[in-house]
Amino acid sequence: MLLSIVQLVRTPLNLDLSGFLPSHASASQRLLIDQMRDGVGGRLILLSITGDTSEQLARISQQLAADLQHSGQFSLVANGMPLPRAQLEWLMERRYLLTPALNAQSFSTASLRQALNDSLRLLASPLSSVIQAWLPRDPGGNMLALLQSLAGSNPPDILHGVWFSHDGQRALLLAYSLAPGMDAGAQEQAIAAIQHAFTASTHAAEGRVSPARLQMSGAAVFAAEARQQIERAAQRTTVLSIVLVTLILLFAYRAWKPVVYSLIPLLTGLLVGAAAVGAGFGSIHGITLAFGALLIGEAVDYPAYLFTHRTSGEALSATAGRIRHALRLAILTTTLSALFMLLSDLEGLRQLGLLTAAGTVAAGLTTRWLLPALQPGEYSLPHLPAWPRPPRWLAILLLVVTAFMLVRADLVWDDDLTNLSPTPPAALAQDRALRNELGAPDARFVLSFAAPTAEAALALSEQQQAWLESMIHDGIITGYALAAQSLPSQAAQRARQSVLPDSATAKRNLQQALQGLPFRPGSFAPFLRDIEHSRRLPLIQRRDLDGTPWASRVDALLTPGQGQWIALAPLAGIAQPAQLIAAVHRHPVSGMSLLDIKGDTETLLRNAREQALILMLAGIGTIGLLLWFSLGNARVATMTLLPVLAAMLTTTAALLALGVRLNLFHLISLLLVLGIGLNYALFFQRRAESPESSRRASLAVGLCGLTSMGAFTILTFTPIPVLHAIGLTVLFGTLFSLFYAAAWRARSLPSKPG
Amino acid sequence: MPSGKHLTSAGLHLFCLGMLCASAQLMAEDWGLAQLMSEFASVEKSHARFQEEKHLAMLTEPLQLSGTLRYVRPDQIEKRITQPYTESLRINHDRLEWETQGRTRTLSLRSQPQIGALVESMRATLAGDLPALQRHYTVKLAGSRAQWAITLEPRYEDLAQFIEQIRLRGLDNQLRQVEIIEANGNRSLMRIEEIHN
Repeated sequence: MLLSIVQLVRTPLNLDLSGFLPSHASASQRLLIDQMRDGVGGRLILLSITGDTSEQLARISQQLAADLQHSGQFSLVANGMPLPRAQLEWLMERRYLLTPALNAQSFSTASLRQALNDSLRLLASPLSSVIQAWLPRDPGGNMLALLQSLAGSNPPDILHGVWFSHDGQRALLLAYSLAPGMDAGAQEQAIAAIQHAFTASTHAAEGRVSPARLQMSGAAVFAAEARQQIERAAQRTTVLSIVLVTLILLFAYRAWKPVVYSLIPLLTGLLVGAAAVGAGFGSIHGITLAFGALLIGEAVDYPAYLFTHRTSGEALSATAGRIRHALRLAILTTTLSALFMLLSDLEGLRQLGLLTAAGTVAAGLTTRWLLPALQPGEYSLPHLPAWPRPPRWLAILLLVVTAFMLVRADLVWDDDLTNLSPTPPAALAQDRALRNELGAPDARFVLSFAAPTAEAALALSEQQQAWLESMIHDGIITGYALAAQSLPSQAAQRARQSVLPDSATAKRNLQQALQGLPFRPGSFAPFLRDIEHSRRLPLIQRRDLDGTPWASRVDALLTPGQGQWIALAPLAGIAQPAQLIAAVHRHPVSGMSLLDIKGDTETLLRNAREQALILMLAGIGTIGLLLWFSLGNARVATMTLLPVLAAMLTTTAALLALGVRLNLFHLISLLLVLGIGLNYALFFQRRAESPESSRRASLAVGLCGLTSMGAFTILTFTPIPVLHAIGLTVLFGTLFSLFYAAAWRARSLPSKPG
Repeated sequence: MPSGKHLTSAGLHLFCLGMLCASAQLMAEDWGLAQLMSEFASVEKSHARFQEEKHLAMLTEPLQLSGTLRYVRPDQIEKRITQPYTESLRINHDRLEWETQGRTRTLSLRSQPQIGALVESMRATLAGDLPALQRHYTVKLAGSRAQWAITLEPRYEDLAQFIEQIRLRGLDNQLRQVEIIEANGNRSLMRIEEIHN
């Protein structure tokens, strides 16, 4: 016990959903999971500031961006402020190395003539003043094109020098955390840092405090909120359950000792279970722990069974001896069903299996060996009405209805991960709106380019840039990001450098191109100097990006993994996912694959669910064999298992009738129903020696049923979809288990009044 | 009698003169920025031809453009260049759509305060929106109703770095000429001639 507590204190609580992703995965699934855990999408936090004048919002945006950049927790904070002059010059100097469209024709007389004619138009346009500043150095417009490609095709509006929403009401910022998206603890710190810096930035000069409000969005923010919610819900549910169960027991026994003793196996089970998971997995998942709290409902069954069977004046050890067979079988069957979860691919499920198995054994052993050593004193038998025996025809009728429902209903499985997350739909809608305004990738579709080296991965991705542009042109996507935009492959840079003409050729071509155009002679001398300079420029290496905003971008989009390098292209503005998938399908490239983070996660979840179903069926089969072996009679074993199976089917039918879309967690809950239902069936099934012992069995099951249903009813009130699903399923399961167990029992016993 | 007639005639002359003076005085008192602006404000839409020349430091001769202008009260302007190439600029509220060489680019005028202020010099004048004009410029009116000139000078430093002066000329509620002198010495002159439908 002490060891358990020590182990528990050292076990970190892991609250992200990634524990419910499989560990045995293919290379592309692995990449997907890495992307979810560490990917650039998961690190992105979108900020929106509203509620003050645009001048104030812009000032806050600037101060917030500067503070966050200096906090050391973010690789990049962007708010639309223009690049510092030094960085603009850095880009200008290397524009020819960075321009994808550069080729042998780019500096021909014809191309230059075209560029100069276009420049004349630009000089007459509203962009005239901007153009005049660059034109002598860059008549080809390469710098402008480069800036546009780095800004994306649909950048937000600029107001007072920073990004604003189109309606001018909200200042917008982007922050990329250094911590990976799935590191919930570090993300919470990053979010707290933003909140802190924002509060500081609302304090303007002269003691004025801006009424501005900050909204944060993004996967990391949602994960942190989910973590808090799950934590709160798990705590609240556990406390409320214990209180409610205690009250029920107090009402039943009218003495405090049996109540306190009843809680001993329960708490021991929880501690041992959690400690076992901590020892086996290193951390414990929040949902696992919340689930573990459900042991309450089940582990209280054992002492209830013990206490209700004690005859007046009997030593508890004698009672324990009398009921040991039924108790052992109840513990064994529950443990067995839990052990099957250990075979699952999902770490979360394996944790759950271990927790339930270890907890059940501990609770059972405590009941069998520890409780009899304590003296519970005198207590009255539960003052509860005997559990009613439903008529057999009602049970059969319910079964027929169940069968009818199951045949008629479309069994719709819900594998959408977002439906399992506690993030409200309004927050998701706001997130989508913000991403649209910012032109930020929507964290769902990412193209990956895998190659043996970083250079090859960059090359592979930049070869597809023309195709990506064509998808923008066709309206399939609105934008993309590539590491090669700021760090082209060395081969591409060398190729671009090689098409730059020598000074004599450049001068001759330019002079021919200028003929008949009204440009003042010598206007483009800086252009000729830049070409000559670019021919000798050392190629851009990764280390040259240090200290620029593009360093973190390149690191996020070009990552080593499993013996190869992967260049990633997050895609933005996908209106029709089917269109994108079809477009990628029509354009097969070796090494390129489309990660559909949502779709692929759904596939993973579906596989896990199908596996869980198989494991459950295998568990039921094994339990059947165990019952047959222990009870020594196939008919009795069948009569024990049948009510439980009937309860599981009717529970499923009831959920479907309520319009619930079943998911993995409903399935897991059915496994819990199996354990609980078997307890009731076994307790009822024990051959009654007298009407008195029959009454006691009825009381025991009635008490167990009440406490379980109490605990699960509380769970159905949580706002966390996963916990709600579990609570509802097990509540129904308990109810129907009691119903069928009682109905079957009526058949197997001689009918007796009372 | 003739003297009487003379007298009458002289009286009539005097009377007429008096009337003329009175009305001229009335005009001088009444016609001003406010009057001009309110007359502009009564124009629901207009359609005109323009000719523009742009004198740029980089160029040895001015760029010559011509085409049509359309205005719909209060904030839609379309400038369509037909010579020497076709291009169109549409301003709708605070959005600028620029269609050139088969591509359309959209610009938020709020994002580009200098271009926004430049557009506003013409938009606010056509709409008769004096407060909007005065947000960016000090406004001076000279001349008469039949031949007026408005001079706009930037009111703040950011704009003054970009624009030196804008001169608008016209008669009644018709804008006839827009001259923009940029701080870098570049200059453009646009002549406008209304098309009566």
